[in-house]
Amino acid sequence: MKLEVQNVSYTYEHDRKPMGLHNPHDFQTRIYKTDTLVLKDVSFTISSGEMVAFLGKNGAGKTTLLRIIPSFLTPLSGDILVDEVSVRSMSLHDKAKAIAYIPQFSQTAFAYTVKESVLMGRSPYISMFSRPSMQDEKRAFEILDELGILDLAGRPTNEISGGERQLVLIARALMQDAKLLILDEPTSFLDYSNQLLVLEKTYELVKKGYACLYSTHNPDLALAYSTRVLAMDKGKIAFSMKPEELEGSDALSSIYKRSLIVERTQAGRLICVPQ
Amino acid sequence: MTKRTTWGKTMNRRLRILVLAIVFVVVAVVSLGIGRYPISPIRVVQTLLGGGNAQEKAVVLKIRLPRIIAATLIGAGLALAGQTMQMIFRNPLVSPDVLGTSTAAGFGASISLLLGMSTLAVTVNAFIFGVASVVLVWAIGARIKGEQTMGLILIGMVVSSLFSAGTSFIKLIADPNNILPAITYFLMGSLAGCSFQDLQVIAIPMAISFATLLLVSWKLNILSLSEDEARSLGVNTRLLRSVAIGASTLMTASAVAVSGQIGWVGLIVPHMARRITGSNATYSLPASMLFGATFLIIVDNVSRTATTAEIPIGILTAFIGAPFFLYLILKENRHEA
Repeated sequence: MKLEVQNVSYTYEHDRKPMGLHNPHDFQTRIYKTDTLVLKDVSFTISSGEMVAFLGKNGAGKTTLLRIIPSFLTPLSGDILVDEVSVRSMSLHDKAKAIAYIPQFSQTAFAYTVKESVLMGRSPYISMFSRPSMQDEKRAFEILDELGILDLAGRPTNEISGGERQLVLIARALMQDAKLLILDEPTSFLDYSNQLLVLEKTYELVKKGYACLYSTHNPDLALAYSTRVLAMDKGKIAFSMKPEELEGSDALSSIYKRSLIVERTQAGRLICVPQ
Repeated sequence: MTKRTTWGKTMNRRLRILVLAIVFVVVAVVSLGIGRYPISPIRVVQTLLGGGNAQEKAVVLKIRLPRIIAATLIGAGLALAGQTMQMIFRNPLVSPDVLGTSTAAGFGASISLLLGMSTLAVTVNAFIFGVASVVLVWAIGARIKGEQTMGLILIGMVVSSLFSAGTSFIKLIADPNNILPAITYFLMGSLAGCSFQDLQVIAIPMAISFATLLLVSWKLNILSLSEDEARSLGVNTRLLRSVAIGASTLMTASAVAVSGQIGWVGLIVPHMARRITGSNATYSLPASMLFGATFLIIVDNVSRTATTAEIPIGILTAFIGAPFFLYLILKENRHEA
């Protein structure tokens, strides 16, 4: 699995235009002030076995970029490639088989059980007039077991904890059999132990060959649970470094606009310390 | 172990639907016997199977059967459309006429009554207007970029109030001696005038809608998630939403065309159905249909037998539906707190 984000720029203005622009020529002929661009010429690559933590202040463009990758938003210019294939040329089903998007929380007014929620992940393999098979159900139980929440299968999703709900969403993503997991601030509504639990489970998946990109506001978690830290500032990639490369560095200061240093504790963990 | 219990639950839900189906059949048969000329359920079954005397045949087959069939189709249809609309708009407080179908159909019927057209023409015109209103709402809604559902609800409100004003205007100019009462009576909703001829008009659109919605039922679950989630799960939300709204509209327009406006059924029955089978549309849609049909047959029994003059069924469903709805609102708020 390889995700390539190539020269992506984005502005909210163009997306409001009726004809959504796709072609670079339009980009050149229209005048966009560079300071209205939410993303400016962003490029990076993620491969299997990589867990990339995405850091940046509010408004830096993290969420926008995470929403462009599964095509919720159309970039003004640039392209997203999954295994060398542009997402533009993929059908909705193919996209869902390649990229799993895990929202902060699932919004539904209806109380589905955990099993029903997880089975929804099978949707890209099921035609409009069909429903999940017994094999799909079997797979759902296996995945729930793998994530350690098999005992929740029959419970309604509105009666379980936030951390468990996040794991259910991850289980749903695994049902998609997509090798790329995109998580938008997976820890933001969770207590500390659930934050650790969700990231630990995700990290285990990455070790099994998934690729993962998640955004977070917690640099300590990013340093602990990632193979690479991608920092964004004002719509540009500020740096892309391995956690251990950040040791002793003040690189994080530039994106958070205050003095920060990454230090190693006696136990060997990296933490971000304000000066 | 866990597997077995969950599997057991699935069976349990199928069993519950079976129980609903049996209750429906029993209620329908008993209801065929209820009325000014009471007939025992056994005689009813015999009559239905070709036995019975001439009088029983006339009462059961000619008078009561069309009405029970109408109550079944309309109850099942409104409940199914309601369940679907609640899922599409991700809002359990939405009813099948959210896009203005009922008011527009009422307007269409009022025009026909004003012009003194035949009963059949009233039905057909009501149907056409009901469908046209949603086409209108949809056409305007297509100009909305991004999140579609909220915009559709607002446009539905606007279109609905326009048709409602139109109906008021027709009532204003209608002959107060005979036409105005006919319009008012139609708008109150009643199964009194249902004939086989009416049912023939709506049979095909209703059959198409029932089949379509039951076929796409599982995917409706995904449509009830947020727009982003549904799309990330590979669902063409605009297409599926169009199909489901189209089918629900055909259903609602058919129902209103035959019976006038019968409120509340499409709003409260889906809640009861979800309580019985859970939210999964694979089960909640058939449960809604069976529950809706049973409910409307029972209410219609009251409507036609409680007093010597018939009570319009729309009044009764409102008397039952409104308090139940209040109960739901209060209960759900308590649950959240």
